[in-house]
Amino acid sequence: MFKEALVTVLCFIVIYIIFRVLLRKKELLAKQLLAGLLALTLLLNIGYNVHAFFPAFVLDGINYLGDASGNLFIYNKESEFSDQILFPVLQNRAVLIDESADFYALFFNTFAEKTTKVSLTADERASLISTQDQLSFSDRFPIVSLANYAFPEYMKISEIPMLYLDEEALVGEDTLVAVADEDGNLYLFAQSTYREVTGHE
Amino acid sequence: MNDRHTNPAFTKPFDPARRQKKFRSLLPYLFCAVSALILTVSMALNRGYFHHLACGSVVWYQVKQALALFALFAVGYLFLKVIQHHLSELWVCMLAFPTAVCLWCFCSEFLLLADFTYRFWRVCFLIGAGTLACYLFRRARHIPIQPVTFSSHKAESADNIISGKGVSTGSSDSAGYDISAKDKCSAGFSQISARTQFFTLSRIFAAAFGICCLVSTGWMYVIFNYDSYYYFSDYGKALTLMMSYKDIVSDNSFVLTNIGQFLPLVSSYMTYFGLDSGAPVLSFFILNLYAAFGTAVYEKVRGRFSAKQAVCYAGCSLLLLASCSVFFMYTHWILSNTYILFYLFFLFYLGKESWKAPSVDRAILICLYGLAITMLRKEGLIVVCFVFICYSVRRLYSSLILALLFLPSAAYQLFYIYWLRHIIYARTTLAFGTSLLSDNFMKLILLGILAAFCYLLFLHFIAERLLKRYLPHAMTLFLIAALCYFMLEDLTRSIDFVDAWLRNFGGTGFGFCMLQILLLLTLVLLTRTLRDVHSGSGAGFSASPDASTEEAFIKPHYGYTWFFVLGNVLITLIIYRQKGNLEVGIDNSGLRSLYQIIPVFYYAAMTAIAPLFEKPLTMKRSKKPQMEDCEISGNRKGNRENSK
Repeated sequence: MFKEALVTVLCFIVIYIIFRVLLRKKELLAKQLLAGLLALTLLLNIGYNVHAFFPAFVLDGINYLGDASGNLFIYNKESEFSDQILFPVLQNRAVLIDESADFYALFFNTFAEKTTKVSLTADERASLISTQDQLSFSDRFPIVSLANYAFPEYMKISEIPMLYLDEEALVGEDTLVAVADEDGNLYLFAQSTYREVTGHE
Repeated sequence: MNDRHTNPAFTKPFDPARRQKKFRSLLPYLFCAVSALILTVSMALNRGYFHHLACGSVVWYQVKQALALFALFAVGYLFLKVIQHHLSELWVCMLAFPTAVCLWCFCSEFLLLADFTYRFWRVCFLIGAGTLACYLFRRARHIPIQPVTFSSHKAESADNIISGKGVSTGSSDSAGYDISAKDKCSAGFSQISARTQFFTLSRIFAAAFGICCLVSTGWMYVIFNYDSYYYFSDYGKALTLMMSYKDIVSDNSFVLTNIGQFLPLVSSYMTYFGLDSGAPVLSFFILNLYAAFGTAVYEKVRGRFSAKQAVCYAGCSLLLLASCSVFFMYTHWILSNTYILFYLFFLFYLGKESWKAPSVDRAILICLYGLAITMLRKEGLIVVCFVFICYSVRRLYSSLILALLFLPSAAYQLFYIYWLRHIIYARTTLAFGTSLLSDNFMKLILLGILAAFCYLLFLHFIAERLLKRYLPHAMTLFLIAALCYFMLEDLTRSIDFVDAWLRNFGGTGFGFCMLQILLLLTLVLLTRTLRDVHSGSGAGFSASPDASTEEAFIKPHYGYTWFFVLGNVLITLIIYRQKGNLEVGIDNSGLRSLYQIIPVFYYAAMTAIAPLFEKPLTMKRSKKPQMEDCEISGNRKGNRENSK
């Protein structure tokens, strides 16, 4: 790297000497060439930006996700913030919290419009959770962000749980059902799915 | 045209200049209408992209974004009008938004540190009370508010009225004429009618609302990474929920020691409006910086080119800056460095302008922006120390005033450290003594504060007497020596450091900007050759009839501008050499800090190379001696005159 840097600097010293002479001999030509060189770097930069930045721009309307899916940030998966899915989902929606998901009650009480506790039988819970293959979204639910700042008790979780939900089924639903399994993984269902599986109203 | 008062309206001759002026005055309204239309279109398009799970209205969401930004602009504008003294109307508009963001963050921080509940209306009340206090102070001293006008002549007249010189500027008879306070208030601005001022104000607000609409479309390029999301956006939301530092810190003080509190507070402002993130604020800042950069370059080269050429030159300079890959990447990334970049450019510009006319408004803004940089990053205070030392080199204000302006930044940083160690740490079980509170960093902060105060209050006087105009050279050499000393301490680590530094130049995300930067530096040196060509022996080059523009061009010695650029780079290298984390990769904080100076560098380079793009025939030898030849010593007279 040192060699390349040295060569680059030497190149510019040569350019400087050439133009120094040229400016004394043919000033107008030297100025035109210099302006041309500057314009060339401008074009190169624009070309690079179009190539490197714009493919990375994901038009996600108001969520501004012009980020990690492109060339520059391809190595990280930081764009997949589970909160970015969960907070809009909870906004303006009521949540029925099963006993198994009591641990998350504080979280839902803060971010959902309304919460109500429900009690499912073990069979009902198992049959609901068995539909997890149909759930379209699943991601680690590290609770490192808002919940972490607000509720330090969540920091005590040793293993990061998973969050499962079915995006399609939740569209248009006002009420969600939250169920957790023994490992603390969280499942969010639409109330219609809950009714179908359990037969409850 | 001159006798239009004698002509009846129906016989008015055709006046293209008047028609053009009328059209120009309608442009802001037109811009506002087009922007509102674009916003409406974006709402229609965003419906498809808007998170389909969110039970919200995309229309109301985007309108709220525009209104939240506009409210900030209006508050900043009002505050600046209250403190305005020498700032032109254009710069009041361009500094309104950054100032409002500062006001919001400072008032929020005050509430949080004083352990008051953090609520939206309380912050608004504090901002309102502060602005009102400034207004009452101004009124008590019989200083009328400057009229809302872009006309430099009228503004100048008003300025003279404020300083009590009388209405007719330039007249030697009236120069010493002192008018009474009553006259200042009543007759003072009678030449600018309320109607004219109202229309000017409406044009300003229309243009600002247009920009708010544009940045609320959601189409501006914004980069989010883990830090942007969790430490700034989400943490800001959490602040609005918990409404207190003490509650939020609980068992974990990481967010208070490892990140600056400025950006989360910006994010909390948007959260109070029910919005997701501070991304629109960043977008507004970006457009604001573009406008400020273009205007600053235009103002500097205006004396050298015709008006149209100057506009073209400023436009090309802006294009060069905007296309610079590093600048593009770092300005669109929601991180503290990005905001330091903005405020650093404004601080540089205010310093440059204060040299011409030191004034209260600029001093207040310097103080505010310095505090903003201190709040933005852990090492922000060190950058502020350097900026103030730079100001003293340029002799903007007296050393005592500079020390007073630096005091809020130093006091805030010291109080914050005290508060963390003695109030927060006493009640946390998982207290992290990292980052800001690590022993090394605290020593660095204390050393910076002591060095800045010692220099400003005592050493500057001696150093200036001894070194005279070679003061910036000596200080640069001192910084280089300090860097070399730290490098030689651990040679193996230093080689890695330099290797990382060099590798980053050719790394991903940099594009061809390093070539451009090197080329610009070459051009700056060549400008000196050009001066030699035109002046024979190398002295007395002046391509401009306006002597004040000479200051922009490279001098035989180097002064404020280049010292500001090079000093910032060296200070950053020293800080990160000590922290030891200049690494390969675009997301390295050392690297981001290094490029905070990019807009100032482009400004310095583009204004310095302006003579290269002049027609050779327009260049002539200066008959009078170069008044601006010496940036440091030459400004003493000007400063003294301005102070009077």
